[in-house]
Amino acid sequence: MNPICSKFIKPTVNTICRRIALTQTRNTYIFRHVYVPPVTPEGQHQRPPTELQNYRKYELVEEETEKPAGPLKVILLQDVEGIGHQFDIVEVDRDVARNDLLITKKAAYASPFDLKYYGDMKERMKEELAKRVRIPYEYLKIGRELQKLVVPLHVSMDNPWTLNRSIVTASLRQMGVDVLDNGVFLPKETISGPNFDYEAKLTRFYVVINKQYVVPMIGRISHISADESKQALYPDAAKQPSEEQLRKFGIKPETPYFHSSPEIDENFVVVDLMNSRKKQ
Amino acid sequence: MLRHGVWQAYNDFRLLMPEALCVQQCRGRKRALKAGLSRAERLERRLKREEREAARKQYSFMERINIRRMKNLLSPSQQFPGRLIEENEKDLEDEPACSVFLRKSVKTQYYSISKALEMHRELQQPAMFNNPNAPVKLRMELNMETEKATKMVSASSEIVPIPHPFTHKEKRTILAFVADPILQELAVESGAEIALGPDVIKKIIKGQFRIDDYDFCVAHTDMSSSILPLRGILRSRFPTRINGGLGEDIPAMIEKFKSGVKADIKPDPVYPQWGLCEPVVGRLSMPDEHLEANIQSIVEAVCKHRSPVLGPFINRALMMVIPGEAHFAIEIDKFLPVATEEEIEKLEKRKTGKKKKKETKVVEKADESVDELLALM
Repeated sequence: MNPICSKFIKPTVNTICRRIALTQTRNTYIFRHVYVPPVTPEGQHQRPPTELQNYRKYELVEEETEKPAGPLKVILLQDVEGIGHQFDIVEVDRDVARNDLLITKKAAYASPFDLKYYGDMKERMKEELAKRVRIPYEYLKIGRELQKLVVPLHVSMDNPWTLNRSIVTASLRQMGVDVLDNGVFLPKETISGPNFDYEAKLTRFYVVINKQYVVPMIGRISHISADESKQALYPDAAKQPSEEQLRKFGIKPETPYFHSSPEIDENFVVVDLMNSRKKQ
Repeated sequence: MLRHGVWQAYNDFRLLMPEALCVQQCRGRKRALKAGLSRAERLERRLKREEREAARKQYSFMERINIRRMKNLLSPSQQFPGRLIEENEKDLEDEPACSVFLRKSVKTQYYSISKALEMHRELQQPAMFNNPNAPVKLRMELNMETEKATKMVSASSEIVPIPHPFTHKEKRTILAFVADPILQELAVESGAEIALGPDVIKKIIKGQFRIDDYDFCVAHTDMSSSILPLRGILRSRFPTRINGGLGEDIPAMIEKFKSGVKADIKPDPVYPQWGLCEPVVGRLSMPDEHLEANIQSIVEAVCKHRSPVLGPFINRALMMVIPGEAHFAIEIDKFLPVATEEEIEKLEKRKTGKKKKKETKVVEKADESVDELLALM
């Protein structure tokens, strides 16, 4: 088997390599004389520069590929996350531009014609663009990270507790998420204990970023105590719960919600809003 | 011909038998030794090999070296919560952009002492960890370098008197140097472990009397001159007027040191330029101002071990609670000593002085060698 296969493979590999070497690469090199030929005095003819061998010696001063080429100016043709909105003129890293944006037609080079062309298109589509909801990229990033987490809500084994904002905020802080402005909202049906029926129960709560972006999050109740003899052991609790598990606790998968203006403060009833969205 | 046909049929029939489908038989001299593996055995071996390779590829070469180093010598500075290295954080943002942020995507946030205490109290509330009277620990990461590259700040253990004492369940043994027998009794009554007179000093120098068990020493002014020979033995425990160990009122001094805070400066065994100091500064139930005053006195006492000209002694101060893993970085810049201009000038002079000496030596040597050459010619 083997000798026959190599007979077919080898020639194709060779032709491919030859093909690659045939594509042009152009670079600019700046040279200077090692031995500078003397200046021709006025009135006289120039002596041939190939007269002395030394005059044909050059040294490399600069090469085009030495300095890194800077960012590339492009016009975005769609809303690209992390870079900009449609018809924005942005400076992007060359690799990203060439390998990702330009190939997939998410952006076009900022040539004078294209600038005018897309500028006019932007004017025509002004109303449509204004209607679009634009969520800032930081909110989206943070929202995605938060949705991946299953927050263990630590509650006491001995003392009576009711799940409230401060417990959730403190548990979030233990996970490494700091909430600065009381942006945590819980459902009205409060859970209280200590009740070992609720152990490892999943609940839904909402975190609001900058009073505008509501992110649904999942918390898992875990009873703890400072007494080390009473620790409970868990199987891998960090993984995302499956849809079945969520259904068991009555939690439906939800998407984050972006409000038009930063109005969501403590008086806003976030839970009702999200419930009404669920039913849609 | 009939026999040939029968033989062919028989051969075809043999192909249907299961033995024709078995693995190639090995024929030859050492048949038993070269017996091949069955498919299952080959699969097993391949799985084992892949497992071993996966375990090997888990860590890169440098990571494996570090892991081996860690297993041999555990560095307390690198154990949780680890040390602040500014280089690792320089790509992150200074301030969080949104009201909700992930700690790992922003630089270390420094909180004021009251804010940090509020956050700890939230965690230790009865509904959660149920420990509102927990002891508060200050974990200070230290820079142990001095002017000389090979010399580091040495380990020391001292008791810092604090303005707002609290109950700490530690046994403190205090030694009292008192001349008067009446005062000796008074000292023992007010809590000193034992009271000694001038005659015992020679025994200590000889080594007949063990003083390692005692955490601190207090002395009456009458004995101040006689205990000088013990300075080398007692080191940081030596009572002086500066650290409050020398005075007239023995019971008050003993009280101060019984309720003071023990601050141990421990150099790191793996990385000598790092150090740790983790004193317990108070209890969560104390008011914020008391804790702040305690922290101030402790920080000032700790910073006396290194001259402020060389830079900040304390890399980062974390407020933690025992028991627990929650930690918050605290702003203590206002408590750190500021180097005076004179000291900075002195340090620079010493540095440039050394450089000038080196340069002049080199120049002189060059001159001498040139002179020799000329003399030869």
